Amino acid sequence: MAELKEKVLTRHVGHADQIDIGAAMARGAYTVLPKGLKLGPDAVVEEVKKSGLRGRGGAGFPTGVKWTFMPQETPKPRYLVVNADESEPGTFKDRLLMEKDPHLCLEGFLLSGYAIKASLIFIYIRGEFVEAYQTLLRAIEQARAKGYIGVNVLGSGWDVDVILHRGAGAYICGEETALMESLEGKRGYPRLKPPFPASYGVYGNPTTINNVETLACVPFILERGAEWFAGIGREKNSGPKLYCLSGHVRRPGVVETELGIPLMKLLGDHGGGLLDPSRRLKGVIPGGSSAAVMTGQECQDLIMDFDTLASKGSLLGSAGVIFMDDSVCMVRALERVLRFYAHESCGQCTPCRIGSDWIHRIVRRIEQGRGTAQDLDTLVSVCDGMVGKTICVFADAAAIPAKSFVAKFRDEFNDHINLQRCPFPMAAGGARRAPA
Amino acid sequence: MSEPREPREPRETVKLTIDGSPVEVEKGSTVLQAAGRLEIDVPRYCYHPGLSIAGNCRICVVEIERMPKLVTSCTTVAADGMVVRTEGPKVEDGRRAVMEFLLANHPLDCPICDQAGECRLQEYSFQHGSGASRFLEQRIQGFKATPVGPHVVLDTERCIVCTRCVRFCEEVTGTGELGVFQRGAFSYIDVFPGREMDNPYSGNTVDICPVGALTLKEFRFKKRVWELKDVPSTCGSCARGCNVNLGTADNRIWRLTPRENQHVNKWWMCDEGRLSYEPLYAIPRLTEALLRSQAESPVKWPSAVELLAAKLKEARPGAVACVVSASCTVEDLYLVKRLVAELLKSDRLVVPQHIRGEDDALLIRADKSANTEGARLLGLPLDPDGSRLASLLKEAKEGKVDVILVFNEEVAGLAAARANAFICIASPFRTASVEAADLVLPAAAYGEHEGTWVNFQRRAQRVRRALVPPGVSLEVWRWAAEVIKALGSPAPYGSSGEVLQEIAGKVPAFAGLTVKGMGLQGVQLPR
Repeated sequence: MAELKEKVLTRHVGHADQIDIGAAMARGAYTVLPKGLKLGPDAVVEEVKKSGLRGRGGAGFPTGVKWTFMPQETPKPRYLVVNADESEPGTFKDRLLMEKDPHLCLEGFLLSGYAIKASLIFIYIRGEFVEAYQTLLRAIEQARAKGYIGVNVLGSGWDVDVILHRGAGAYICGEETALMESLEGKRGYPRLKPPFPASYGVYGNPTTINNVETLACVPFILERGAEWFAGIGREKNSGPKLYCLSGHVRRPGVVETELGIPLMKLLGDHGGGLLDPSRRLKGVIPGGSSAAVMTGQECQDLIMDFDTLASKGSLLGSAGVIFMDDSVCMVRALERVLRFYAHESCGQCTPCRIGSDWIHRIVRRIEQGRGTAQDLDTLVSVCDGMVGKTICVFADAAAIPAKSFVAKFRDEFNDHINLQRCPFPMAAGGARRAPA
Repeated sequence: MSEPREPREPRETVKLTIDGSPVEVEKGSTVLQAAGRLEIDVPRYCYHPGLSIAGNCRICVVEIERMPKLVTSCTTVAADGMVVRTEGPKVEDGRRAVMEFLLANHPLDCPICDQAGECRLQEYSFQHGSGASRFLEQRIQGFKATPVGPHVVLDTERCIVCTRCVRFCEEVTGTGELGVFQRGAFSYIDVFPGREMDNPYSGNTVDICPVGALTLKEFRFKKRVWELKDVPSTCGSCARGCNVNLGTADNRIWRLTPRENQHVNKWWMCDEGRLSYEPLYAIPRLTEALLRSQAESPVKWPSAVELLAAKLKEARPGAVACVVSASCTVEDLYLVKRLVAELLKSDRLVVPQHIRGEDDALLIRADKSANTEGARLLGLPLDPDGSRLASLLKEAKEGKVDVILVFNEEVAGLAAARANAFICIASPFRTASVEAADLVLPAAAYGEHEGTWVNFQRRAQRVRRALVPPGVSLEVWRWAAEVIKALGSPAPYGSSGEVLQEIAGKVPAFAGLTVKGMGLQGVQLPR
């Protein structure tokens, strides 16, 4: 198992002209597409399966296996949906890829669409990503002009069109079935499952949905081989991976390295250490705001891959890594996270609709110095009433971090309640209360 | 209207165990439906058998062996060998949590809520709720008592966003006036901007609303529902004959609600039918027989019958005309026919039809009479274009008719015939045509009479007596029977059931029909 010694997905990110198809092709764009089209769809699926590529959107499901869920025989059209609704707080990797190397993205989408015999590729892009939208739109037009999109692509007999659709600003529309509802013009409510998208997806047709980063890996798997991909990182957690570093880190931003890098190495080698080296690492949210928080202690030997984090009760998720040093009030941090979930719950299921708002208000009250002795018990019990009790995992995404903050920083919550104020000094730019 | 999924023959079934009892259900049924087969009442808000499955309220959770989490029984398809528990500490915990969530922002205005007594929040609080609230936050307020259509009033504070009403308007009426607005805890249901929920079935949203969010403008605050006695009956507003419950108290109808009958109206009824009780209390009632010569004077009903019988005897042979409503019961029509056609040997019998608008795709029929098909099966002459009635009135004006009998029908232009003919009208109401009558007999109105109607599908259904008619008002068949007796013929009927018994013996179309046989769901007559 090897470290990643070079940039792969982000290797052309530094070139301002990479968004133009001419420049991109001069650097090798669309050289894998003809190769893939010669292999045939099943061989592409097989290669991706062999590579061990796991979905980069958050769940880490093996991509090649997901593709085999598509029905072999069907009179219906098949669709590929690209989930470009990157909305998880702390996450900004897909945005970078789309803005800086749209043709890499498109080549990945086309190869993957070909693999599942899609007649249409929908790209559902977060509405706020205006630059990425415009860049991708232009890239699609250029690719169409070159014959990479359209009827009989490169003489392969495969017809495909690409539709770029902007979301309207709801986090829940990143959930795959809510995304499909939204794509169909309906309110973004997650669907009941089963049926799953492979049998009943967009407009009721067989659909595969993948994350942008996942699909951007596909050209490299076909170019360099499944073995190369599987050889990077750790067993069952392989390949290059984009991490989004934010918070109290010296060099925030997108980092490309291998899947399974130790967290402290990620912070030290790639992030340049903590923003203020005199401070202590207090906690890390390792995989976007839906992931359970890890204490500084737990972070010391933490491996950043899907299976390790899951075994520790957290998630690699979207690999949005948020560092918090000891200047952070964890109650306030949780309040900010929960404010997001209270705002973004779609409101379909009772436990999430009411619960996500309720837990936010409890934590806000504690932070504002109006906590009561029962609050933490109530908070945990309300979270228990949410986890696993709803159609989608949004409720879990709000309740599990909340429980983790309370479990791991309980003293801090108790201090707020006992003192009837936040013991931390007022942060620059704004909070409520000067230090006592 | 969405038809229920027709089971394919032969039906595949699955066997599972619920709360220790084995049950076999059709493949594809949900666990909730399977529990229903065992008469286990799993709580539900969003589930309604007539609507798509939403799975959003989460109150119907059950425990299934070998499944790690509680699952919603409305969305889980029953499978062979499943072992389901609808009770137990884990399930109770799940339900208690949902109840707590639903009540967190609820205004708890039960004392002034018109849903009280038939509110699922109240019922499930009673069963699964806790006495105390842990919700210390400020309640999110909504808007109250807001009309969303001509008949329906919305209170978003009480709403639990189960979306039954939204799905009804999307799936059943296809009108789609309602939607969910905002997100999360601020979600609320409302009509889309610039729209009104004015579809002809809007009242059904009130019935299916499990809480006090949607109430009927015409019923709200009129009566506490526990004071109402529901009497199963049939709606008389059109030829569909939707099965209904008459909500009665103080000897009057306060509301009509649909009663499920998969053959006729599924779970629904139209707004016109729903409000069809209103005219009963808007138009003045007749309570005694009236003799009208120069002045109007009350007359005891036996004298009234004798007087009419005398006039009928005096009439020239065949010079009696009769207009009878197609909304009269089979029993009414049968005895009127016996009186006029058999006894008085007159063929001047007219059953006017009232056709208005068109049949719609759901329930509403253009034929506004409840028993047109019954009249047809009895061999009575229907008058779809009014020509028979016109020629009858013309003959009366020309002096060819000595007595005109009118039963429960409003006839325009009667006055012109009064000079030559004696006019007797039986009617529940003091209407315009009463002014043209020489003799007025008070008749029982809807809700006060008992009998059989045959709907357009030839389904025989009972209309039931729930109220005591005012004064000496009698059902039409009783008036007819009294006159038959006064004319010296036997009419030994103690009840409408006995009349039906005779009809079932004599009229082949009704062979074998009994009151008991019709039950609450009616009987399909041979087509």
